Formats: sequence, C-alpha cells, structure tokens
Amino acid sequence: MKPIDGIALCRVGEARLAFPCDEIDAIAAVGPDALGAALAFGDVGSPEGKALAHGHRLLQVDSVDVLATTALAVLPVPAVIARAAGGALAGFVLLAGDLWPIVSVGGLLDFLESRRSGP
Amino acid sequence: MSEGPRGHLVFACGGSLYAVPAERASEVVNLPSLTRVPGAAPHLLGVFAHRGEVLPVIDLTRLIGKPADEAFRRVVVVRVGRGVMAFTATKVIGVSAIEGAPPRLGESGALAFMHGPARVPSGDCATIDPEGLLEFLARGR
Amino acid sequence: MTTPLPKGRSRWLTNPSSVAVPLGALLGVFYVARVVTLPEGTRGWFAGLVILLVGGFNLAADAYEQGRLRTIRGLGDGTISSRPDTLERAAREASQAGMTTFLLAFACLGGGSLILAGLWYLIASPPLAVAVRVGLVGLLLGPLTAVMANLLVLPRARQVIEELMAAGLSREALATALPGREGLRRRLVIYAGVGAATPMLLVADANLHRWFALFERLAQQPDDAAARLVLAAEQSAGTSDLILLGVLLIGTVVLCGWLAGNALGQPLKRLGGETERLAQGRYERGRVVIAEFEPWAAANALSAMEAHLLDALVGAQDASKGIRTAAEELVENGAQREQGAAEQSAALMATTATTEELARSARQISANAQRVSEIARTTLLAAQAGKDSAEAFTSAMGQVRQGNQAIADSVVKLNKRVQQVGRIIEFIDGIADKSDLLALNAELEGHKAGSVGQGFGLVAAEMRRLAENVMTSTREISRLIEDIRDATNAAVMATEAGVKATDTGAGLATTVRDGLGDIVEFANLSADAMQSISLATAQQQAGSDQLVSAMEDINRSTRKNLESAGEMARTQGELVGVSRELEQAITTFGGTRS
Repeated sequence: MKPIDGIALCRVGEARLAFPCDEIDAIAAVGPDALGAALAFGDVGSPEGKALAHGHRLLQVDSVDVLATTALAVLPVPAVIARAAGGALAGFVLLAGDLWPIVSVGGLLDFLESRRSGP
Repeated sequence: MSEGPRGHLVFACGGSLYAVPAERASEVVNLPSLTRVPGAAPHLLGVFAHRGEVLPVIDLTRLIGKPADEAFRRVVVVRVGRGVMAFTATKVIGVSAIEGAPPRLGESGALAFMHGPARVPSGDCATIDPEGLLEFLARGR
Repeated sequence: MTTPLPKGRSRWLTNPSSVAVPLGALLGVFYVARVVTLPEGTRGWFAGLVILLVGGFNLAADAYEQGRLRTIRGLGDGTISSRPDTLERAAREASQAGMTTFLLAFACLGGGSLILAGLWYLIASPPLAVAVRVGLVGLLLGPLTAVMANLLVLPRARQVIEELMAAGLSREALATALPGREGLRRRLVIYAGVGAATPMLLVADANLHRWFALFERLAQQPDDAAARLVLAAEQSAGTSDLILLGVLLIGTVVLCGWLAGNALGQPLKRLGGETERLAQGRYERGRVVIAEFEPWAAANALSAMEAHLLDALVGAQDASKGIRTAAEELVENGAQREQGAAEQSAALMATTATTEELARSARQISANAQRVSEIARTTLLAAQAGKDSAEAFTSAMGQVRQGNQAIADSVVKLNKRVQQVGRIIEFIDGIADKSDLLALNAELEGHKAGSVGQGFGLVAAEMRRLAENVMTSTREISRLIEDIRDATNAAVMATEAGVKATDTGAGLATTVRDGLGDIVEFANLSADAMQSISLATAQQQAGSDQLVSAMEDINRSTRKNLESAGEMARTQGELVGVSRELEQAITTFGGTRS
C-alpha cells in the first residue's frame, strides 16, 4: 500500500476515523445541513462538534486532530470488509497500538447520503 | 466423494459447536479490544491488528441470525487464499478428526457455507467452509 | 354680722387733746397772772401772744393727729374698704393715738411756752427773769397736760378698737397689731411722778417768788419800821391766791389720778367680768377685752384660752355624739347577736353531728393509709430488685458489645486475607489461561505438521489438560473465595448490626435502670410519705375525737352565750342612756358657743 501524508484524526462517539488531509477543504463549524459521521456506526451522534468541508458538503464529527506526519504506513483492508461503507474504507494506520480506519471523505459522504435516502 | 478423516479445530460459540479445518486455522488468540469499522454489517464486530495484519472479527452467532452472546474470550484466526478472518469463540475445544462431509445446513446465506451435523467427542458440531464463507462475506455489502 | 366703723371717729379721738391743750394753757395763764407779776405794758402783748400761739399750735397739732389717723378716718368715711389689712392698720393707729396725744400736748405746752417767753421778751422787753419764769411755767405744766390728754384718749382708743372688731377685725390680727408691751409700771411711775411733781414744783416756785419779792421789798425799805409795815402788809394780804392755786393744783392731780385709775382699771374690771362669764361656762368665740400693757397680754391669753376651750368642747360634743351612736349601734348589734347566737347554736348542733361523722371517716382513712403504706413498701422492694437486674443486664450488654466488636474486627481482617488470596488466584488463573492458549496453538501446529508433529501434539494436549485442571481449580477457589467474601461481608454486617443492637440494648437498659432508679427514689419518697400520712391520719383520728368533745363544749358555751347575749343587750341599753346623758352635759356646757 502506498504511504499516506497527513491525516485528520477524528472521534465519533467511541469510534475512531482518519481522513486524508488533502480531501478536506476546511474544518468548519457545524451547519444544519452537515451529515453526521455517527450514522455510519448506527448512532445518532452528538449535536455539537466540528464539520469537515468537502466541496459544498459538510461531514460532522465530534473532534478533529490533524496529524501532519508524512509517509505513514497504511495497512490494507481485509477482503471481508473491502466493501464496507460503500468502499469508502481506504486502509488502516496503526498509531500507538490503536488502529485508525482511513476513510475517504467524499466516499463516506456518498455512503451516508445513500443510507439516508435509501431503505 | 468419500474422504478420509480430516483434522478440525472445534470451538464453542453462543452454545453451538463449530469446526474449521485445522490447516485453515492459523492461530487461537485472546480477544483484544476492537476497532469499529464504519458502515460494517452487525456481525462484523470490528478489527484488530495482529502480527502487522488487520484482522476482521466475525460473530458467528449473529451471522446465522441468533441472539448475540458477548461472552467471548478467544478468537480463532482462519486464513484462506484470499484473505484472513477471525471467529469469536467462548471456548476452544481442540483438534478433532471429522470423517466425511455432512450436508449443508442451508441453501442461502451464511448457512450455505456450513455443514452438519458432524460428530466430535464434545457433541455435534457444524463444520465451516472458510473459503466459501470468506467469499460470501467479501461479496456482501 | 359686721358693723362698719362709725363716721368721725378720728375727730372724736383727737377731741381730748384739743380740749386739754387750751385747758393747760389757761391754767398756765392763770398761774402766771396770779403768781408772776407781769410788768406794766407787757401784759397786752402777753395775752395776744398766748391767744395766737394756743390757737396756732392747736390747729397744727390737730392736723398732725388727723394725719396719723388716716385709715380710721377713711374707714369711717367709707373711702377705704374694710379689709383685714386696713382694719389691722386702723387698730394700730388707734392704739398709738394715746401716745401721739401725749407727745403733742407735751410739745405744745413746753414748746409753746418757750416760744411765748422768747417772743414776749423780744417784743415787750420784760425783765429776763420774768420771761424765763413764764417759759418755765409752760414747761412745768406740759407733762401734766399731756398725761391728762393721754388718759382721756385711752378709753376712746379702746372703744374704737372694739368697733373695729365689730367691723370684722379678727382677734388674732388684733393680737399681732397690738403687741403686748410690758410698760404698765413705767407708765404708772410717769403718771404718779407728773401728778406729784408738777404741783410741788409750782407751789415751790410760787413760794420762792413770794419770798424773793418780799426780800426785795424789804431791802428797798429805808428803815426797820417800814420793813415791819411791809411784813405786816404781806401777812395781812393773806394767802387766798395761794390757797386757790393749791386747791386748783390738787384738783388737777386728783383728776389726773382718777383718770389714770379709770383708764387702767377699766380693762381689769372687764377682764374680771369675762373670767366670771367663763367660770359660768358661757363661752363666746372672738371676745376680747381691749387693754394696754400687761392687762392686754392677760386679755389676749384669756381670749386664746376661750377659743381653745371652745374647740375642745366641739371635739367633746362630736365625740359624745359618736359614743351615743356607737352605743345605739351596739344595742342594735346586740339584738342581732342574740338572734345570731340562737342560729349559731342550731348550726353547731348540726356541726357536731358532722364532726362525729368526720371522726368515723378519719378512722377509715387511717386504716386505708396503713394499707397503702404497706403496698408502697412492697413497691419499693420490687423496684429495687428491678433496678439491680437492669444494672446486671447493662453490664452484660457491655460485655456482649465488646465481644461483638472483637468479632467484627476479626472478620474484617479475614476479609483482607481472603482478598489477597483472591488476587494470587487470579494471577495463577492468568498463567494457566496463557498456558492453555500456548498449548492449544502448539497442538494446532503439531497437527499441521502431520505425523511428525503427532508426538508434539500429544504433549501439547497433555499440557492443555494440565492448564485446564489448574483453571478448573482456580475457578473453584475463586468461587470459594467469593463464598467466603459473601459470608464475611454478611458477618461484618451482622456484627455491625449486633454492635448497633447491643448499643441500642445497652441504651435501653440504661434508660430502664435510670427509670427504675427514679421509681426506687419515688417509691422511697412515697413510702416515707405514706408513713407520714399514716401517722398524720392516726393523729387526725385522735384530733377528730377531740373535735367531737370540743364541739360538745362549744355547744354548751353557745347556750351560755345565748343567755349572756340577753344580759349584754340590757347592759348596752344602759350604756346608751349614759352616753346620751354625757352628750347632753357637754352640749349644755358649751351651749352658748357661737
């Protein structure tokens, strides 16, 4: 797997999510049309937090920490979960013994939109 | 297609006995803390890093649509050609020889990749087809 | 009641002096005319000057006197109102009128004669010796005239003062207005001296003048025969003039004495009359005899005495009236008492019956009290025993509490030990678990190795059984430890509850002990009290028995009292009679009081 440069470490409830920095246009305040990342874990999520701007869309998380480390080793996604979140899962990084799933912001937003409008 | 007795690793999960071919079972480890995966199915409890690899943990009880039982102590790591996965286990019984191939337990879903009943010293168990199940799981959402 | 002062009293008071001064002057002129031989040619001037001076002095003296009696005149004219202070001032003026008249008369005669002599000498130029003699005659006659005028004024002044009293002047005010000076003796000496000395001096003067005149004539005679003739003529000339003069002077002195006696004796006589009246018991308020000097003091004292007597009489009358009223009331009460005694007798009969009943119930009470006393003693003993038991219980509870505490401490210690064992067991279990896992994976690897790994697999399986046995054992131990923990927790709770229970029990026992202590105390007190009651009721029984006999005595006394009440009523009737007589007597004695 190709190493990755710079990720945003986000927390959503008890869960962890890492987003590539180059996919985030801005870290903004939570707006009314922001999509909650908690929905990806089947949770409602808290009303407060930060929003990651991706184009004209906003993804809401509880907290954001930007990790500027370059050339982070990315672990591949096992075949069993390769299609999880509509294929938004890009790999894993291991930081201080904790696994962080790297997720494409756009892909997750697409997945959340499809889940909201879907069945 | 009669075959000789094959060694299986037998383990208990949620009150049922399961068996995987011994040559597919790579390891038994204590269940560590798991990292949740976004958008994953309910039977996928999460992933953990083991020997530089990310292992997805599958709850067999939930997979076959039975009520959840969280009293897992161990996971059985199963490795096939396409990938790796780990099954939750309340207790690992050990390696037992299972003769012949019992019929499939179901026509569709996960049960299509399970056979039984097969007799082991501890009782009747369901043998799992790891390759087929992995394919099935990878195919799913 | 009051009579106003009559008009013209001031004039009336000064009339004597207006009469006395010309009378004295007339006497002097007569004397001069008879005894002193006035030179020819000077007699006309002399007579003229006498008339002029007598008239002038009389007018001046009268004006002065009227001025001194201003208040009296004002009261008589009605220009001054009759008030206590004006009346008092008028009384003072009246009392001083006598002395004023005396001094004025003296000054008129003495001063007048000296002025007459001086003027006459200057105008008519008589011989100096004659002029001096004329002046001396005036001086000699002055005192006599003054005394006479004074004696004439005194009774009038008294009358004016009495009239002032009738006009409302009080006796007390009069006493202050007329202070009682003690001057009667001096006044009597003056009267006597003037009365005796004046005629003597005048007679001596007349004789001396005669002798000097005779000697002069004899000396002027040329020879003895002529002298003898003169002597014979002198002898034959007689003494008619001298006798007339002597008679006149004696008459004057007698008049003077009579007037003095009258003036001083009259108040004494009236005092006698007043005393007589007092002796007869005819008292009158506000009566006083007007007098001067010592008699005035006596009169004042008598008047004050009369006033005091009258006050005392009024008090005595009131008192006797009170006595009579009281005596009458006594009689009335006596009658009521007689009736009351009869009622009392009847009531006492009833009381006696009640008393007997009381004595019976007292005996009953005494018996009851005796029983109650015994019960109280029994209660005391029971309470004492209860208190002892409670004390024993309290100490036993204390011991139990200590035991419980010791148990609780031991249990806590045991619990700690068990927890330590539990931790060790957990550690062993962890090792066994890891061993099991290792053995499991070894078995798996052995199996994968095929026939080569078969023996390895067997060893691993054996190892797994061992680890499982250990784990089974540790699970068993854990379960036991859990049981022990539960048991010790229960024990701790139980002992704590036990300690609490013993505390509560000890507290209750203490309360019970204290309560029983109080009961013992009260029972002691009540036993004492019951004994006292028992004693008292025994005494009461005796007392009520005595009461019965006392009631019988009282009954007898009441009957006697009833009899004596009648007796008393009669005696009281007599008392009323006596008190009436007393009142009558007092009223009669002071009946004339105003």
